Amino acid sequence: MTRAKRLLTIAAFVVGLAVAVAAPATAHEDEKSTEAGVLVRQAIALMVNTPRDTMAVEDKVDDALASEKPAGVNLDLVTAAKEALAAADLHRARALLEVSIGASPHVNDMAVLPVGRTAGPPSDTAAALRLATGEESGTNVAVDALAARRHLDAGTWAVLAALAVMAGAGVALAIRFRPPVPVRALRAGTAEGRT
Amino acid sequence: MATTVDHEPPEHRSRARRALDVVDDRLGIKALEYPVPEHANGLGWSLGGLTAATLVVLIATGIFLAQWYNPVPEEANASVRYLVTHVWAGEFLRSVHFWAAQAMYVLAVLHLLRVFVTGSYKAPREANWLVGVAMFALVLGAIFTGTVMKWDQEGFEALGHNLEIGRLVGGLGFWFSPRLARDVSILTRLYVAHIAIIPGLLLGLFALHGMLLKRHGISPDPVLGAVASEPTEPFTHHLRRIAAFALVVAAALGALALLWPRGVGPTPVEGIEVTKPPWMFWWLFTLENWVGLKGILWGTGVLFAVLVAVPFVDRSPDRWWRRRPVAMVLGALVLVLLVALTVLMAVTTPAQHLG
Repeated sequence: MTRAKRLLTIAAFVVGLAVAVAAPATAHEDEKSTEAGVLVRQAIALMVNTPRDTMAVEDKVDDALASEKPAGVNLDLVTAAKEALAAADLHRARALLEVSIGASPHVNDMAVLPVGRTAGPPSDTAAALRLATGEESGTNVAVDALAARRHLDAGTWAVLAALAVMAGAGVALAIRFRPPVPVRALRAGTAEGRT
Repeated sequence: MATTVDHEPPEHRSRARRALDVVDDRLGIKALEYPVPEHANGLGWSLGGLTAATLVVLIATGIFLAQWYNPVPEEANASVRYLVTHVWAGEFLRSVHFWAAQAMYVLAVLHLLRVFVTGSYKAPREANWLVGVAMFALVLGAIFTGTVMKWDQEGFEALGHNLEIGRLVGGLGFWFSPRLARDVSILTRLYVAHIAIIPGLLLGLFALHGMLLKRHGISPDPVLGAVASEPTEPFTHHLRRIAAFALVVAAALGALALLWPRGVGPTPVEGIEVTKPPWMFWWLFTLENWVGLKGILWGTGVLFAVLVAVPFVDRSPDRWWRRRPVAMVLGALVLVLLVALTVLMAVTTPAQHLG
Protein backbone atom coordinates (compact mmCIF):
# COMPACT_ATOMS: atom_id res chain seq x y z
CA MET A 1 0.00 0.00 0.00
CA THR A 2 1.41 3.39 -0.98
CA ARG A 3 1.70 6.23 1.50
CA ALA A 4 -1.14 8.15 -0.17
CA LYS A 5 -3.43 5.11 -0.01
CA ARG A 6 -2.60 4.59 3.66
CA LEU A 7 -3.47 8.23 4.38
CA LEU A 8 -6.73 7.92 2.43
CA THR A 9 -7.66 4.76 4.34
CA ILE A 10 -7.03 6.46 7.68
CA ALA A 11 -9.03 9.53 6.59
CA ALA A 12 -11.92 7.34 5.42
CA PHE A 13 -11.86 5.47 8.74
CA VAL A 14 -11.97 8.71 10.73
CA VAL A 15 -14.83 10.11 8.63
CA GLY A 16 -16.71 6.81 8.88
CA LEU A 17 -16.27 6.78 12.65
CA ALA A 18 -17.52 10.37 12.89
CA VAL A 19 -20.59 9.55 10.79
CA ALA A 20 -21.27 6.41 12.82
CA VAL A 21 -21.18 8.20 16.15
CA ALA A 22 -23.14 11.10 14.70
CA ALA A 23 -25.99 8.89 13.52
CA PRO A 24 -27.95 8.90 16.81
CA ALA A 25 -28.00 12.70 16.67
CA THR A 26 -30.42 12.66 13.76
CA ALA A 27 -33.03 11.29 16.15
CA HIS A 28 -32.94 14.53 18.15
CA GLU A 29 -36.47 15.60 19.05
CA ASP A 30 -38.03 19.03 18.93
CA GLU A 31 -37.83 20.27 22.51
CA LYS A 32 -40.10 23.33 22.26
CA SER A 33 -41.83 23.75 25.57
CA THR A 34 -45.61 23.93 25.84
CA GLU A 35 -45.71 24.78 29.55
CA ALA A 36 -47.53 28.02 30.25
CA GLY A 37 -44.89 29.09 32.80
CA VAL A 38 -42.07 28.71 30.28
CA LEU A 39 -44.06 30.54 27.59
CA VAL A 40 -44.75 33.45 29.96
CA ARG A 41 -41.04 33.63 30.81
CA GLN A 42 -40.24 33.71 27.09
CA ALA A 43 -42.79 36.49 26.53
CA ILE A 44 -41.12 38.57 29.26
CA ALA A 45 -37.68 37.85 27.77
CA LEU A 46 -38.89 39.02 24.36
CA MET A 47 -40.16 42.25 25.96
CA VAL A 48 -36.73 42.76 27.52
CA ASN A 49 -34.66 41.87 24.45
CA THR A 50 -36.81 42.98 21.51
CA PRO A 51 -39.48 45.31 22.94
CA ARG A 52 -40.44 46.58 19.47
CA ASP A 53 -41.46 43.12 18.29
CA THR A 54 -44.81 43.08 20.11
CA MET A 55 -46.22 40.52 17.71
CA ALA A 56 -43.77 37.90 18.97
CA VAL A 57 -44.73 38.76 22.57
CA GLU A 58 -48.44 38.46 21.76
CA ASP A 59 -47.84 35.07 20.15
CA LYS A 60 -46.14 33.81 23.29
CA VAL A 61 -48.92 35.14 25.50
CA ASP A 62 -51.54 33.49 23.29
CA ASP A 63 -49.59 30.21 23.42
CA ALA A 64 -49.45 30.46 27.22
CA LEU A 65 -53.19 31.03 27.45
CA ALA A 66 -53.84 28.06 25.15
CA SER A 67 -51.36 25.80 26.96
CA GLU A 68 -52.58 22.49 28.34
CA LYS A 69 -49.98 22.74 31.12
CA PRO A 70 -50.96 25.88 33.03
CA ALA A 71 -49.54 24.80 36.43
CA GLY A 72 -47.93 27.61 38.43
CA VAL A 73 -49.38 30.40 36.27
CA ASN A 74 -52.21 32.77 37.16
CA LEU A 75 -53.99 32.79 33.81
CA ASP A 76 -56.30 35.66 34.82
CA LEU A 77 -53.24 37.88 35.09
CA VAL A 78 -51.95 36.61 31.74
CA THR A 79 -55.32 37.52 30.20
CA ALA A 80 -55.00 40.98 31.75
CA ALA A 81 -51.49 41.22 30.31
CA LYS A 82 -52.89 40.37 26.88
CA GLU A 83 -55.35 43.25 27.22
CA ALA A 84 -52.55 45.58 28.31
CA LEU A 85 -50.56 44.52 25.26
CA ALA A 86 -53.53 45.26 23.04
CA ALA A 87 -53.64 48.71 24.63
CA ALA A 88 -49.89 49.09 23.87
CA ASP A 89 -49.10 49.32 27.60
CA LEU A 90 -45.95 47.23 27.55
CA HIS A 91 -44.88 48.25 31.05
CA ARG A 92 -48.13 47.06 32.65
CA ALA A 93 -48.19 43.92 30.50
CA ARG A 94 -44.72 42.99 31.65
CA ALA A 95 -45.53 43.59 35.32
CA LEU A 96 -48.67 41.45 35.04
CA LEU A 97 -46.79 38.62 33.37
CA GLU A 98 -44.11 38.72 36.05
CA VAL A 99 -46.63 38.56 38.85
CA SER A 100 -48.53 35.81 37.01
CA ILE A 101 -45.64 33.41 37.58
CA GLY A 102 -45.00 34.53 41.15
CA ALA A 103 -42.14 36.95 40.54
CA SER A 104 -41.91 40.48 41.86
CA PRO A 105 -42.52 43.11 39.20
CA HIS A 106 -39.26 44.42 37.76
CA VAL A 107 -37.74 47.30 39.65
CA ASN A 108 -34.45 48.18 38.00
CA ASP A 109 -31.55 46.61 36.15
CA MET A 110 -29.71 45.75 39.37
CA ALA A 111 -32.56 43.89 41.08
CA VAL A 112 -31.56 40.58 39.56
CA LEU A 113 -32.05 38.28 42.50
CA PRO A 114 -35.29 39.66 44.00
CA VAL A 115 -36.96 39.58 40.60
CA GLY A 116 -35.41 36.30 39.60
CA ARG A 117 -36.65 34.43 42.67
CA THR A 118 -40.25 33.40 42.19
CA ALA A 119 -42.37 32.81 45.27
CA GLY A 120 -43.73 29.41 44.20
CA PRO A 121 -46.23 27.33 46.16
CA PRO A 122 -45.26 26.61 49.82
CA SER A 123 -44.96 22.88 49.16
CA ASP A 124 -42.40 23.51 46.45
CA THR A 125 -39.52 24.36 48.79
CA ALA A 126 -37.28 21.57 47.48
CA ALA A 127 -37.72 22.74 43.89
CA ALA A 128 -37.00 26.32 44.92
CA LEU A 129 -33.73 25.24 46.54
CA ARG A 130 -32.61 23.10 43.60
CA LEU A 131 -29.76 24.64 41.62
CA ALA A 132 -29.82 24.74 37.83
CA THR A 133 -28.00 21.85 36.18
CA GLY A 134 -27.13 20.85 32.61
CA GLU A 135 -28.21 23.50 30.13
CA GLU A 136 -30.81 25.19 32.36
CA SER A 137 -30.52 28.97 32.43
CA GLY A 138 -31.37 29.31 36.12
CA THR A 139 -33.42 32.38 35.21
CA ASN A 140 -37.00 32.70 36.35
CA VAL A 141 -37.66 36.12 34.92
CA ALA A 142 -35.54 38.04 32.41
CA VAL A 143 -34.10 41.23 33.83
CA ASP A 144 -33.23 44.34 31.83
CA ALA A 145 -29.72 44.75 30.45
CA LEU A 146 -27.31 46.83 32.48
CA ALA A 147 -26.23 49.49 30.03
CA ALA A 148 -22.58 50.48 29.81
CA ARG A 149 -21.94 53.78 31.55
CA ARG A 150 -19.22 56.03 30.20
CA HIS A 151 -17.94 58.36 32.91
CA LEU A 152 -16.10 61.24 31.28
CA ASP A 153 -15.08 62.88 34.55
CA ALA A 154 -11.73 64.35 35.60
CA GLY A 155 -10.43 60.94 36.70
CA THR A 156 -11.19 59.41 33.30
CA TRP A 157 -9.43 62.24 31.48
CA ALA A 158 -6.42 61.83 33.79
CA VAL A 159 -6.23 58.11 33.00
CA LEU A 160 -6.65 58.83 29.29
CA ALA A 161 -3.77 61.31 29.50
CA ALA A 162 -1.61 58.68 31.24
CA LEU A 163 -2.53 56.17 28.53
CA ALA A 164 -1.56 58.69 25.86
CA VAL A 165 1.85 59.09 27.55
CA MET A 166 2.15 55.30 27.65
CA ALA A 167 1.34 55.03 23.94
CA GLY A 168 3.83 57.80 23.19
CA ALA A 169 6.51 55.98 25.18
CA GLY A 170 5.75 52.82 23.23
CA VAL A 171 6.11 54.63 19.91
CA ALA A 172 9.35 56.31 21.04
CA LEU A 173 10.82 52.99 22.19
CA ALA A 174 9.70 51.25 18.98
CA ILE A 175 11.54 53.94 17.00
CA ARG A 176 14.60 53.68 19.23
CA PHE A 177 14.70 49.89 18.89
CA ARG A 178 13.99 49.79 15.16
CA PRO A 179 16.47 47.86 12.99
CA PRO A 180 19.47 50.00 12.00
CA VAL A 181 19.09 48.96 8.36
CA PRO A 182 15.50 48.92 7.05
CA VAL A 183 14.41 45.80 5.20
CA ARG A 184 13.63 47.93 2.16
CA ALA A 185 17.26 49.06 2.00
CA LEU A 186 18.43 45.47 2.36
CA ARG A 187 16.10 44.41 -0.44
CA ALA A 188 17.34 47.26 -2.63
CA GLY A 189 20.92 46.22 -1.90
CA THR A 190 20.17 42.64 -2.83
CA ALA A 191 18.50 43.76 -6.04
CA GLU A 192 21.55 45.87 -6.93
CA GLY A 193 23.84 42.94 -6.17
CA ARG A 194 21.81 40.74 -8.48
CA THR A 195 22.03 43.28 -11.30
CA MET B 1 25.90 39.83 14.19
CA ALA B 2 25.30 41.83 17.31
CA THR B 3 24.85 39.13 19.91
CA THR B 4 26.44 40.00 23.23
CA VAL B 5 29.47 37.91 24.01
CA ASP B 6 30.77 39.09 27.34
CA HIS B 7 34.51 38.74 27.80
CA GLU B 8 34.74 41.25 30.63
CA PRO B 9 36.25 39.98 33.88
CA PRO B 10 33.52 39.55 36.53
CA GLU B 11 34.84 42.36 38.76
CA HIS B 12 34.36 44.91 35.95
CA ARG B 13 30.73 44.04 35.29
CA SER B 14 27.86 46.12 36.68
CA ARG B 15 25.89 44.80 39.65
CA ALA B 16 22.84 44.25 37.45
CA ARG B 17 24.91 42.35 34.91
CA ARG B 18 26.38 40.14 37.61
CA ALA B 19 22.90 39.47 39.02
CA LEU B 20 21.77 38.50 35.52
CA ASP B 21 24.76 36.17 35.19
CA VAL B 22 23.86 34.49 38.47
CA VAL B 23 20.32 33.89 37.24
CA ASP B 24 21.61 32.77 33.84
CA ASP B 25 23.97 30.24 35.41
CA ARG B 26 20.92 28.60 36.96
CA LEU B 27 18.15 29.14 34.38
CA GLY B 28 20.04 29.57 31.11
CA ILE B 29 18.06 32.66 30.09
CA LYS B 30 20.82 33.77 27.75
CA ALA B 31 19.64 31.01 25.47
CA LEU B 32 17.08 33.61 24.38
CA GLU B 33 19.85 35.67 22.85
CA TYR B 34 20.01 33.50 19.77
CA PRO B 35 20.38 35.46 16.53
CA VAL B 36 17.37 36.39 14.44
CA PRO B 37 17.41 38.18 11.08
CA GLU B 38 16.86 41.90 11.27
CA HIS B 39 13.66 41.91 9.19
CA ALA B 40 11.97 40.10 12.10
CA ASN B 41 11.99 43.34 14.07
CA GLY B 42 9.43 44.94 11.78
CA LEU B 43 5.80 45.34 12.89
CA GLY B 44 4.53 42.68 10.48
CA TRP B 45 6.84 40.05 11.97
CA SER B 46 5.98 41.11 15.53
CA LEU B 47 2.25 40.38 15.26
CA GLY B 48 2.62 36.95 16.86
CA GLY B 49 4.43 38.50 19.81
CA LEU B 50 1.72 41.15 20.10
CA THR B 51 -0.93 38.42 20.13
CA ALA B 52 0.96 36.87 23.04
CA ALA B 53 1.04 40.29 24.75
CA THR B 54 -2.77 40.50 24.60
CA LEU B 55 -2.90 37.02 26.13
CA VAL B 56 -0.88 38.35 29.06
CA VAL B 57 -3.40 41.21 29.47
CA LEU B 58 -6.26 38.72 29.29
CA ILE B 59 -4.73 36.46 31.93
CA ALA B 60 -4.00 39.38 34.28
CA THR B 61 -7.48 40.92 33.97
CA GLY B 62 -9.07 37.45 33.99
CA ILE B 63 -7.49 36.66 37.36
CA PHE B 64 -9.02 39.90 38.68
CA LEU B 65 -12.48 39.12 37.26
CA ALA B 66 -12.41 35.57 38.63
CA GLN B 67 -12.36 36.90 42.20
CA TRP B 68 -15.96 38.11 41.85
CA TYR B 69 -17.41 35.90 39.15
CA ASN B 70 -19.78 33.20 40.34
CA PRO B 71 -20.06 30.42 37.72
CA VAL B 72 -23.50 29.07 38.62
CA PRO B 73 -26.48 29.93 36.43
CA GLU B 74 -28.55 31.57 39.18
CA GLU B 75 -25.77 33.97 40.16
CA ALA B 76 -23.48 34.41 37.13
CA ASN B 77 -25.19 37.40 35.52
CA ALA B 78 -25.79 39.05 38.89
CA SER B 79 -22.13 38.57 39.86
CA VAL B 80 -21.01 40.34 36.68
CA ARG B 81 -23.40 43.22 37.49
CA TYR B 82 -22.00 43.40 41.01
CA LEU B 83 -18.43 43.46 39.65
CA VAL B 84 -19.30 46.24 37.22
CA THR B 85 -21.15 48.44 39.70
CA HIS B 86 -19.62 47.76 43.12
CA VAL B 87 -15.99 46.70 42.64
CA TRP B 88 -13.32 49.38 42.30
CA ALA B 89 -12.10 49.43 38.67
CA GLY B 90 -14.32 46.41 37.99
CA GLU B 91 -16.07 47.92 34.98
CA PHE B 92 -12.77 49.22 33.58
CA LEU B 93 -10.88 45.93 33.92
CA ARG B 94 -13.80 43.91 32.58
CA SER B 95 -13.90 46.23 29.57
CA VAL B 96 -10.12 45.88 29.12
CA HIS B 97 -10.63 42.09 29.19
CA PHE B 98 -13.29 42.39 26.48
CA TRP B 99 -11.23 44.68 24.25
CA ALA B 100 -8.10 42.55 24.75
CA ALA B 101 -10.06 39.54 23.48
CA GLN B 102 -11.06 41.51 20.38
CA ALA B 103 -7.44 42.60 19.91
CA MET B 104 -6.14 39.06 20.36
CA TYR B 105 -8.46 37.79 17.64
CA VAL B 106 -7.57 40.61 15.21
CA LEU B 107 -3.83 40.26 15.87
CA ALA B 108 -3.98 36.47 15.52
CA VAL B 109 -5.75 36.82 12.16
CA LEU B 110 -3.23 39.44 10.98
CA HIS B 111 -0.36 37.20 12.14
CA LEU B 112 -1.86 34.26 10.28
CA LEU B 113 -2.26 36.39 7.14
CA ARG B 114 1.32 37.63 7.40
CA VAL B 115 2.61 34.07 7.70
CA PHE B 116 0.49 33.07 4.71
CA VAL B 117 1.56 35.99 2.50
CA THR B 118 5.26 35.60 3.31
CA GLY B 119 5.13 31.81 2.89
CA SER B 120 6.52 31.30 6.38
CA TYR B 121 4.66 27.98 6.72
CA LYS B 122 6.79 26.29 4.09
CA ALA B 123 9.27 23.52 4.81
CA PRO B 124 10.57 22.96 7.41
CA ARG B 125 7.99 25.03 9.32
CA GLU B 126 4.80 23.07 8.50
CA ALA B 127 4.48 21.74 12.04
CA ASN B 128 4.70 25.22 13.49
CA TRP B 129 1.95 26.37 11.12
CA LEU B 130 -0.24 23.55 12.44
CA VAL B 131 0.55 24.57 16.02
CA GLY B 132 -0.46 28.11 15.09
CA VAL B 133 -3.73 26.92 13.54
CA ALA B 134 -4.48 24.97 16.72
CA MET B 135 -3.77 28.11 18.77
CA PHE B 136 -6.13 30.08 16.52
CA ALA B 137 -8.85 27.50 17.20
CA LEU B 138 -8.18 27.89 20.93
CA VAL B 139 -8.46 31.68 20.63
CA LEU B 140 -11.90 31.20 19.06
CA GLY B 141 -12.74 28.75 21.85
CA ALA B 142 -11.68 31.29 24.47
CA ILE B 143 -13.85 33.99 22.88
CA PHE B 144 -16.80 31.62 22.66
CA THR B 145 -16.55 30.47 26.29
CA GLY B 146 -16.00 34.07 27.39
CA THR B 147 -19.20 35.07 25.63
CA VAL B 148 -21.09 32.38 27.53
CA MET B 149 -19.57 33.47 30.87
CA LYS B 150 -21.62 36.69 30.92
CA TRP B 151 -24.68 34.46 31.12
CA ASP B 152 -26.89 36.94 29.32
CA GLN B 153 -29.22 36.21 26.42
CA GLU B 154 -26.38 36.51 23.88
CA GLY B 155 -24.11 34.14 25.79
CA PHE B 156 -26.89 31.68 26.47
CA GLU B 157 -27.91 31.54 22.82
CA ALA B 158 -24.27 31.04 21.82
CA LEU B 159 -24.17 28.11 24.21
CA GLY B 160 -27.46 26.80 22.79
CA HIS B 161 -25.95 26.71 19.32
CA ASN B 162 -22.94 24.86 20.57
CA LEU B 163 -25.03 22.29 22.41
CA GLU B 164 -27.06 21.69 19.25
CA ILE B 165 -23.87 21.22 17.24
CA GLY B 166 -22.65 18.85 19.92
CA ARG B 167 -25.83 16.85 19.33
CA LEU B 168 -25.35 16.99 15.56
CA VAL B 169 -21.97 15.29 15.79
CA GLY B 170 -23.31 12.66 18.16
CA GLY B 171 -20.69 10.94 20.28
CA LEU B 172 -17.94 13.33 19.17
CA GLY B 173 -19.81 16.14 20.91
CA PHE B 174 -19.92 14.34 24.26
CA TRP B 175 -18.12 17.17 26.07
CA PHE B 176 -20.83 19.61 25.03
CA SER B 177 -23.59 17.31 26.15
CA PRO B 178 -25.38 18.46 29.33
CA ARG B 179 -25.74 14.76 30.08
CA LEU B 180 -21.99 14.30 30.60
CA ALA B 181 -22.38 15.53 34.18
CA ARG B 182 -26.06 15.65 35.04
CA ASP B 183 -25.76 17.51 38.33
CA VAL B 184 -23.30 20.15 37.14
CA SER B 185 -24.35 23.11 35.03
CA ILE B 186 -22.60 23.29 31.70
CA LEU B 187 -21.81 26.91 32.60
CA THR B 188 -19.54 25.67 35.36
CA ARG B 189 -17.80 23.28 32.97
CA LEU B 190 -17.34 26.02 30.37
CA TYR B 191 -15.93 28.25 33.09
CA VAL B 192 -13.31 25.60 33.82
CA ALA B 193 -12.56 25.47 30.10
CA HIS B 194 -12.32 29.26 29.92
CA ILE B 195 -10.00 29.76 32.86
CA ALA B 196 -7.97 26.53 32.89
CA ILE B 197 -8.25 24.17 29.93
CA ILE B 198 -8.05 26.68 27.07
CA PRO B 199 -5.40 28.99 28.59
CA GLY B 200 -3.41 25.93 29.66
CA LEU B 201 -3.45 24.49 26.16
CA LEU B 202 -2.69 27.91 24.68
CA LEU B 203 0.33 28.35 26.92
CA GLY B 204 1.54 24.82 26.19
CA LEU B 205 1.23 25.36 22.44
CA PHE B 206 2.80 28.79 22.81
CA ALA B 207 5.86 27.15 24.36
CA LEU B 208 5.97 24.63 21.51
CA HIS B 209 5.51 27.46 18.97
CA GLY B 210 8.47 29.29 20.53
CA MET B 211 10.65 26.19 20.66
CA LEU B 212 9.97 25.40 17.01
CA LEU B 213 10.68 29.02 16.17
CA LYS B 214 14.08 28.66 17.78
CA ARG B 215 14.63 25.23 16.21
CA HIS B 216 13.95 26.42 12.63
CA GLY B 217 14.76 30.09 13.07
CA ILE B 218 12.53 32.97 12.01
CA SER B 219 11.63 32.42 8.37
CA PRO B 220 13.67 34.39 5.84
CA ASP B 221 12.34 37.55 4.24
CA PRO B 222 10.54 36.35 1.08
CA VAL B 223 12.43 38.80 -1.13
CA LEU B 224 15.84 38.67 0.53
CA GLY B 225 15.82 34.94 1.06
CA ALA B 226 18.39 33.48 3.38
CA VAL B 227 21.16 35.82 2.29
CA ALA B 228 24.25 35.90 4.44
CA SER B 229 24.42 39.69 4.14
CA GLU B 230 21.31 40.30 6.25
CA PRO B 231 22.39 41.45 9.72
CA THR B 232 21.14 39.60 12.76
CA GLU B 233 20.23 40.73 16.26
CA PRO B 234 19.66 38.77 19.47
CA PHE B 235 16.12 37.45 19.91
CA THR B 236 15.96 39.53 23.10
CA HIS B 237 16.08 42.65 20.91
CA HIS B 238 13.08 41.26 19.01
CA LEU B 239 11.28 40.85 22.36
CA ARG B 240 12.29 44.39 23.30
CA ARG B 241 10.67 45.82 20.18
CA ILE B 242 7.55 43.69 20.72
CA ALA B 243 7.36 45.12 24.25
CA ALA B 244 7.49 48.64 22.80
CA PHE B 245 4.63 47.85 20.40
CA ALA B 246 2.77 46.14 23.25
CA LEU B 247 2.86 49.38 25.26
CA VAL B 248 0.95 51.07 22.44
CA VAL B 249 -1.55 48.20 22.25
CA ALA B 250 -2.07 48.21 26.03
CA ALA B 251 -2.68 51.97 26.02
CA ALA B 252 -5.19 51.56 23.18
CA LEU B 253 -7.00 48.82 25.13
CA GLY B 254 -7.21 51.08 28.18
CA ALA B 255 -8.59 53.96 26.12
CA LEU B 256 -11.17 51.70 24.45
CA ALA B 257 -12.25 50.39 27.85
CA LEU B 258 -12.75 53.91 29.16
CA LEU B 259 -14.48 55.31 26.10
CA TRP B 260 -16.53 52.24 25.18
CA PRO B 261 -17.08 50.25 28.40
CA ARG B 262 -19.10 47.05 28.37
CA GLY B 263 -22.53 46.61 29.87
CA VAL B 264 -24.24 43.36 30.84
CA GLY B 265 -27.07 41.83 28.82
CA PRO B 266 -30.44 40.66 30.19
CA THR B 267 -30.59 37.45 32.22
CA PRO B 268 -31.08 34.54 29.80
CA VAL B 269 -34.26 32.60 29.09
CA GLU B 270 -34.50 29.34 27.19
CA GLY B 271 -36.40 28.88 23.96
CA ILE B 272 -36.02 32.25 22.27
CA GLU B 273 -33.44 33.39 19.73
CA VAL B 274 -33.13 37.14 19.48
CA THR B 275 -29.42 38.00 19.61
CA LYS B 276 -26.48 37.93 17.24
CA PRO B 277 -23.23 36.23 18.21
CA PRO B 278 -19.94 38.14 18.59
CA TRP B 279 -18.81 39.52 15.22
CA MET B 280 -16.03 36.92 14.80
CA PHE B 281 -18.72 34.28 14.34
CA TRP B 282 -21.02 36.25 12.07
CA TRP B 283 -19.86 34.50 8.88
CA LEU B 284 -20.86 31.18 10.42
CA PHE B 285 -24.29 32.45 11.32
CA THR B 286 -24.96 33.59 7.77
CA LEU B 287 -24.31 29.98 6.79
CA GLU B 288 -26.67 28.92 9.57
CA ASN B 289 -29.39 31.18 8.19
CA TRP B 290 -28.97 29.50 4.81
CA VAL B 291 -28.64 25.82 5.68
CA GLY B 292 -29.43 25.54 9.39
CA LEU B 293 -27.18 24.57 12.28
CA LYS B 294 -25.18 22.22 10.05
CA GLY B 295 -23.84 25.35 8.35
CA ILE B 296 -21.87 26.25 11.47
CA LEU B 297 -20.43 22.77 11.72
CA TRP B 298 -19.47 22.52 8.07
CA GLY B 299 -18.25 26.10 7.83
CA THR B 300 -15.89 25.67 10.76
CA GLY B 301 -14.76 22.27 9.51
CA VAL B 302 -14.01 23.48 6.00
CA LEU B 303 -12.14 26.61 7.17
CA PHE B 304 -9.87 24.65 9.50
CA ALA B 305 -9.40 21.85 6.94
CA VAL B 306 -8.23 24.50 4.46
CA LEU B 307 -5.89 26.04 7.03
CA VAL B 308 -4.43 22.66 7.93
CA ALA B 309 -3.98 21.74 4.26
CA VAL B 310 -2.16 24.97 3.29
CA PRO B 311 1.47 23.82 3.84
CA PHE B 312 0.84 20.43 2.27
CA VAL B 313 -0.81 21.84 -0.86
CA ASP B 314 1.44 24.84 -1.46
CA ARG B 315 4.80 23.10 -1.47
CA SER B 316 6.78 25.21 -3.90
CA PRO B 317 9.90 26.73 -2.36
CA ASP B 318 8.92 30.27 -3.45
CA ARG B 319 7.94 32.57 -0.60
CA TRP B 320 7.48 35.87 -2.42
CA TRP B 321 3.76 36.49 -3.03
CA ARG B 322 4.32 37.57 -6.62
CA ARG B 323 5.68 34.14 -7.45
CA ARG B 324 2.69 32.38 -5.85
CA PRO B 325 -0.30 33.66 -7.83
CA VAL B 326 -2.49 30.59 -7.28
CA ALA B 327 -2.01 30.57 -3.50
CA MET B 328 -2.56 34.33 -3.32
CA VAL B 329 -5.76 34.25 -5.40
CA LEU B 330 -7.18 31.33 -3.42
CA GLY B 331 -6.26 32.98 -0.13
CA ALA B 332 -7.87 36.24 -1.24
CA LEU B 333 -11.01 34.39 -2.30
CA VAL B 334 -11.35 32.75 1.11
CA LEU B 335 -10.83 36.11 2.81
CA VAL B 336 -13.37 37.89 0.60
CA LEU B 337 -15.88 35.09 1.20
CA LEU B 338 -15.47 35.36 4.98
CA VAL B 339 -15.81 39.15 4.89
CA ALA B 340 -18.88 38.97 2.62
CA LEU B 341 -20.59 36.41 4.89
CA THR B 342 -19.77 38.60 7.89
CA VAL B 343 -21.25 41.71 6.26
CA LEU B 344 -24.37 39.76 5.30
CA MET B 345 -24.90 38.82 8.96
CA ALA B 346 -24.61 42.47 9.96
CA VAL B 347 -27.72 43.29 7.94
CA THR B 348 -29.75 40.19 8.87
CA THR B 349 -32.23 39.65 11.69
CA PRO B 350 -31.53 36.58 13.84
CA ALA B 351 -33.76 33.66 12.91
CA GLN B 352 -34.93 30.83 15.16
CA HIS B 353 -32.81 27.70 14.73
CA LEU B 354 -32.65 26.23 18.21
CA GLY B 355 -34.91 23.37 19.27
